[in-house]
Amino acid sequence: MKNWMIIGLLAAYAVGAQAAAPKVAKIVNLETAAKGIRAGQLYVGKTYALPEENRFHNIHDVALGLNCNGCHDNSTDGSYPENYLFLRRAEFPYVANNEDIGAVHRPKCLACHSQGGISTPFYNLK
Amino acid sequence: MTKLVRVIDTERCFGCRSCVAACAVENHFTPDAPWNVMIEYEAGNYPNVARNFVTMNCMHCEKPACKAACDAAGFKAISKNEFGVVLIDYEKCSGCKYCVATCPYGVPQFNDKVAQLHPGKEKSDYENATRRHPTHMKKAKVVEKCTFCWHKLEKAVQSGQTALIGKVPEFTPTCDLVCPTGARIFGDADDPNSAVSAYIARKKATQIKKEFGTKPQVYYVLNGGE
Repeated sequence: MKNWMIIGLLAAYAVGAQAAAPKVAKIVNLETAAKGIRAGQLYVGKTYALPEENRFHNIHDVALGLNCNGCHDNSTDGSYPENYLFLRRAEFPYVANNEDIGAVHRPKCLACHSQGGISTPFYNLK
Repeated sequence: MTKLVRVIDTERCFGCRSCVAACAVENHFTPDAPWNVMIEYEAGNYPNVARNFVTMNCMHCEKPACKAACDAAGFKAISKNEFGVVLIDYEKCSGCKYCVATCPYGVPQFNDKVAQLHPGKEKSDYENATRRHPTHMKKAKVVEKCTFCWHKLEKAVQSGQTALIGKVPEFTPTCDLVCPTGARIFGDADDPNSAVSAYIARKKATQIKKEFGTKPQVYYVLNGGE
């Protein structure tokens, strides 16, 4: 079933690739998307960088469909709590394009980015 | 094997920031990209309140998330050497900030521009110097962080005096030398007789944010235990 989904996505991408500029793929099945991105089969941008138009946000926001509040904490003023041990704590809320960007609590990343998760593992590395 | 670790005793630290100042002088970090930071907060309810001081620098994790992210992005700018020190190669760093995004401790600092030591004046002799240790070469649009003062430790390694790391000033990170309360200890955790090993065992020092599984090499003695 998953193989058929990947093939379907590839076909959709191949059709899209004939257009002048490739569009970032939009998928709802996270596991399939993660595999496709890692295999380079899904276009999510070329530039490895954090700004919205680059790969990092293309993957999380456009391709995986996570909304801003899924990662960024805008529930209060977007800062880290006073007692949160995070060296760059004072940066938040971060200002980009004249907008306050709320902090991202790293435990949120654990769900997908731990060893055995669906995304590239960064945490709990054996 | 040598596994260099640091212990920070928050029960002794009173937030003087000598370690922060010493790091700034030793490593010339710029205000927007600090390598060592003091986090200060209140705890408890009146009348049982306390002010806590926790100084943070790179944890030099055994399984660094920053390195995993950098490798996954294909830049391979972050390395971990045989002494457990995590270093960034500024020549390979693309400034993608994936390490910034993944570090659970918020350690990597993106240096947007190399700030002048004396703004509006001529560059100092230090800034004009071309022969500097690679970890001290300031470059805009790259990420930098604490190196455990690798420029000092490297001298011990090169001269075959690794046993003296953490024991003599020239082979000890500068922040650990200046603490007036002795709240910072640095040394080899693989040596059961080292001061740092004894301190970890005696004071039940622990790592913070262990749930990330990155196995930090900086231990903390926390108020009230783990």
